[in-house]
Amino acid sequence: MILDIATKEFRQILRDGRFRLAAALFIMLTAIAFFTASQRYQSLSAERTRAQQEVALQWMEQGEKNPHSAAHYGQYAFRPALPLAFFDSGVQAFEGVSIWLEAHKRNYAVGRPADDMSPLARFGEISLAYMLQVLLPLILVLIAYPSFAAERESGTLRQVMASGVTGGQLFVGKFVGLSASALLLMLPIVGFSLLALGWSSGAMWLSHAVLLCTLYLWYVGLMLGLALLVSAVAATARTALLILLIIWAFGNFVVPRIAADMGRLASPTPSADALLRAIENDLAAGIDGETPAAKIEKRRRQLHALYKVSSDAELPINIQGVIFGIQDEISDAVYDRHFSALEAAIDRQIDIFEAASILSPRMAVMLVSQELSGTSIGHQRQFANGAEAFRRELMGTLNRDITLNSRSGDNAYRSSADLWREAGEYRFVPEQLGASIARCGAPLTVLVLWSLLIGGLGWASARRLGTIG
Amino acid sequence: MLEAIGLTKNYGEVRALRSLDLRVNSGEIYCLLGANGAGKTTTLNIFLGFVRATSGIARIDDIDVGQNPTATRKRIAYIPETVTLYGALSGLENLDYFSKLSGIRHSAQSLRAFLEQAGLAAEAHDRPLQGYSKGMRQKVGIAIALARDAKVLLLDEPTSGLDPKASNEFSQLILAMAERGAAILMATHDLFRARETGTRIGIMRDGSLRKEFATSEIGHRDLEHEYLKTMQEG
Amino acid sequence: MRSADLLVGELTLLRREQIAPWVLFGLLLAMVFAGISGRMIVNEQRMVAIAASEEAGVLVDSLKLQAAAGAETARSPGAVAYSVLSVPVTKAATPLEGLAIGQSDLLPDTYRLTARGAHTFLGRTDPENSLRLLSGNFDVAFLVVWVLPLLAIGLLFDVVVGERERGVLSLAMVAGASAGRFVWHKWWSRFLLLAGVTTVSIVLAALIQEPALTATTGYLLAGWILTSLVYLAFWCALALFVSIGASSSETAATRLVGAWLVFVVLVPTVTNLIAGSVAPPPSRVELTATLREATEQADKAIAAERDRWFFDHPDLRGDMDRRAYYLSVAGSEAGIEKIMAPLLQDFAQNGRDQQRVIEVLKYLSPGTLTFRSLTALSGSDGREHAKFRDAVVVHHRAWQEFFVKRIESDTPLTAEDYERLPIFVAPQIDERELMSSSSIPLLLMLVVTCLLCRVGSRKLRSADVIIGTHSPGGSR
Repeated sequence: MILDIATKEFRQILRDGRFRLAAALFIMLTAIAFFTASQRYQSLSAERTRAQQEVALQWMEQGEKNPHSAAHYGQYAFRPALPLAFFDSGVQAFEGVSIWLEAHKRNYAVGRPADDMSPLARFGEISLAYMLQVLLPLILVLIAYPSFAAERESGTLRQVMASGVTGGQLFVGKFVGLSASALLLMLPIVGFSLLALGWSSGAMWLSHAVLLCTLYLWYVGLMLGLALLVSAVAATARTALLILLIIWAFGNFVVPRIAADMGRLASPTPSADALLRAIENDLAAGIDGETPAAKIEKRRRQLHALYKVSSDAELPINIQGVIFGIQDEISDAVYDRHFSALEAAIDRQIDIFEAASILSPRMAVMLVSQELSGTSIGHQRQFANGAEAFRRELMGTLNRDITLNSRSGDNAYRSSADLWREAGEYRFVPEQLGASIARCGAPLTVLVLWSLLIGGLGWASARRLGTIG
Repeated sequence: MLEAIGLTKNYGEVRALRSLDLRVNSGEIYCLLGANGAGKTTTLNIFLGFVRATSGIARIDDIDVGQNPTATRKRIAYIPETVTLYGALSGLENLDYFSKLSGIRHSAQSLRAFLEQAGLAAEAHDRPLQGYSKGMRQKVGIAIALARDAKVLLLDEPTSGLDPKASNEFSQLILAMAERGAAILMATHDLFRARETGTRIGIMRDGSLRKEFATSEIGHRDLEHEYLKTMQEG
Repeated sequence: MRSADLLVGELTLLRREQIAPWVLFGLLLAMVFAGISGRMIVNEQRMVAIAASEEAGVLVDSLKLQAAAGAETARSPGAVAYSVLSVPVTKAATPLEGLAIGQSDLLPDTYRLTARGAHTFLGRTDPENSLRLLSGNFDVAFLVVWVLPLLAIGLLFDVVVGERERGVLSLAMVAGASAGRFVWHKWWSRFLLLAGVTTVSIVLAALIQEPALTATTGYLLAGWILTSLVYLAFWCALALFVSIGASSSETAATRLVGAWLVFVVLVPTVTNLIAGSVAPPPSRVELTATLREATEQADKAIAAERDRWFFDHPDLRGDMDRRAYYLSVAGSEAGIEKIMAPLLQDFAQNGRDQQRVIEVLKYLSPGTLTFRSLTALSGSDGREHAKFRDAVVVHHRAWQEFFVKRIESDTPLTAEDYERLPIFVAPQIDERELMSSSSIPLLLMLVVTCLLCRVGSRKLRSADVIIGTHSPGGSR
């Protein structure tokens, strides 16, 4: 019975000129989005890989140099273009792509692609994810809104119910039939994406891709359920259409902006200037209530006592290396404090955004999709924190070399390629899937709640289909 | 068999049905006449299970409609005033779909036979319904009823908007179904068609059945006279 | 029936339907909320700029006093230029910038200038929540460009087809009204309502910005209102045109939402794609690599300089002459800048190229046209920022020259020198230029609007429009 209803719905949709036109446009836009995104991904990926190799070569071939000069020369960490970024570019356009890893200083990523885009970039980007999150639900609205409402108006619904079918069977049958037509539209996107993914990156990202498919199937089911629910309860087809269009427009365009602005007002982030000033002040003040100079002097006296000497020149080690280490310890602590505060401010903004997603399931899907595609704020932080961890290791290695392999006052000390090799070059390690999913708790909860709501209301409205009064 | 015992329906203060007693046996065509708002459609809606009676019992083949609306719907065929169905599907496809909804699967040959029996020309079977005239749609509605082989048929103003030839064809089909043992309840304004087709006639006003006749006992003119008298009564 | 009676009748109908008053009230509230939000965002930026400016002022005053007292660091042009003094330069405020945030949350409105190369401060951006940047701003421009058309569609999509479906149109004609007069009164009543609420909302939102009550503000506000009303008129005219030709009110609604999707969402996005393809930005990654190489070469040159100096002055090894040191720094910075300046120019040029592409393609979409006009009137469309940036580059050269001259001639800084420091004058918004450059696009939109109305009017005489030629209704 349900299959018969579903088959009829599917056949009817395929014959609908509006669906055919919408499907043709949708598939054409998908092809454009796929083509431009994959071109961009390939070019970005090649460029960043090349840049990373270049800076690694520069590091290795910097010649003989004092290790501390090398520390100031530093390395660069470039955020690679991850395979699924071509499907969902997430926040990448608004995040820096490179971090300078230098001595005594933690830099944040610079080189936001959005800074070089036209002002119209704020209208959004037609990525494959955008097609599924925004445009496909609109098509679903257009094919689903008359499902019950128009049949009720024309009297056909009475005739269907008079055949002995239950409201539940009818609701599920229409849902299945319309889902089949939605799948027809999703297949090009899913098909293209998986093909491209397999071709470019192999099995590692396939699990991400499978979860993404599941997510979007869930989302499409939600949107379809919502459209059928509104159609079932609305008095007329016109009312159903208007309500659904309002929900679509507000959920996709209005709620995210209000949430973003509310977040900004509730939890502002410091300007670059203010952040720099605050860090400079704290660096001067030191940590644990001790100024840097006092800390250095204390350590000097300890070393003198340990080696039973009375001057730096008598030490069997180069005290400058130790001083650099202390300076790094202080600067690391200060930067940790300020960067943590910055992250906390941004996290509060994200919390508000996540809370607002209760009004718009699209926002919840967007957050999960970014996590699974490796293009979320969480992934950017993972890149930045990984780069910082490498920087600290790098500086530690260089400082140790100065301390152990030279003497105090020996400004002519030089190291060579062996040290640069030992210090190593920065390599990006992608995050494990579990860590990405762990950040999806709130948006997934929102999607579950929406599913329960639509499921519950859908069931209630299906029961009422066979009654008038 | 259709039965209503003391059927009452109130919509707030409005009493749409007042203790209606009605019985339609197999092979009978019962025509319910009355003005708009007399309670004809409410009566049909209660038998269809779309509306719950405030009190009283409605039964189809001895099954209480109020308790088992889904089970009783499987025993009835229904033709509304305007048969709209699905414009993008053909007559044949609409018939196939509605038959399947009833749980019955017919071969394409059988479905075409039903459409022909209902009077729909063969060349129209595979055309989309949105190009059909009202009469042609009516015939598809009848074909659906025929395909279900239901023993109870509910009709709501079935000849409304049909030309005399189409009305006459429709009447012949209904009579044929009654001869095969169907119990038919028809709500209509059409006094002439009621007299021509019906076995019995009931005249409703303000939710109650005021008069009842066997069509063999009353002529066209007398029926009209009785109808108008009932409408004018206090 | 008199026009006034028809109009009053329509307004009464709208009031009774209840939805329209609520929707319009909602629009007013949303605009006011957006105005407040914009004001708070702009205020936040301004406070930061003011604090930075005050701090710099205090530092300069302190250095002046120290120089007068003979303090070595305050008198050393090299130390002050490269280690001590950095001053903020801020973009000029525009009266209505809170109404359209545009690019101003992405592009810095303050740079902290030093005598070091421009590349050290031009690329600096504020740390931001990238999710917020991705989502965009809920400002008045957003409400006008995205939401106002939806309201116009909501009120007007069935202005003809709905009346036809209800049988009202033919009845009205039988009663003696011409179809055109009947429909136009409906259209005008809705348009005037929307226009009235839009105007009041924009004025309120503008007043919330607490702008200076000057002719400039007046011009800009007039520009805002005019642009918004022409845009609104376009959508109302389009709604009428579609409503006339549609077979059902649902078809009309679907077509209009499709038009909105195309003009407000898709075309601007595709325009951005084209701009990026026709004028692809230079690579920041390559810029980084080039800067690194240039810095390395410069550092090696300084080291070579020092070695040479110590070779010539072995007795002074370990304590390089201050002048020589700062000269080498100046030389190094000049060397790096020589390499970096053309690359930075490429970025600036690319920005201009993209703007030019958009200026051509904006005519494809009234959404793009209106967005460009509104952000231009608020000084947040990127062009004002480009002007600001160019002015900063020029000022930076003057700043560098001020100090390098003194380093080269080994002239210590005096208290008077601190009073003669180059002062940055931020370029002001030229409202007349903006209005004149906006006039052609607005005029074009008005012409298209009039065309739609004219063609619609003609079609209203057709019987098809009055009574419809739909086939027997059916489910889909």
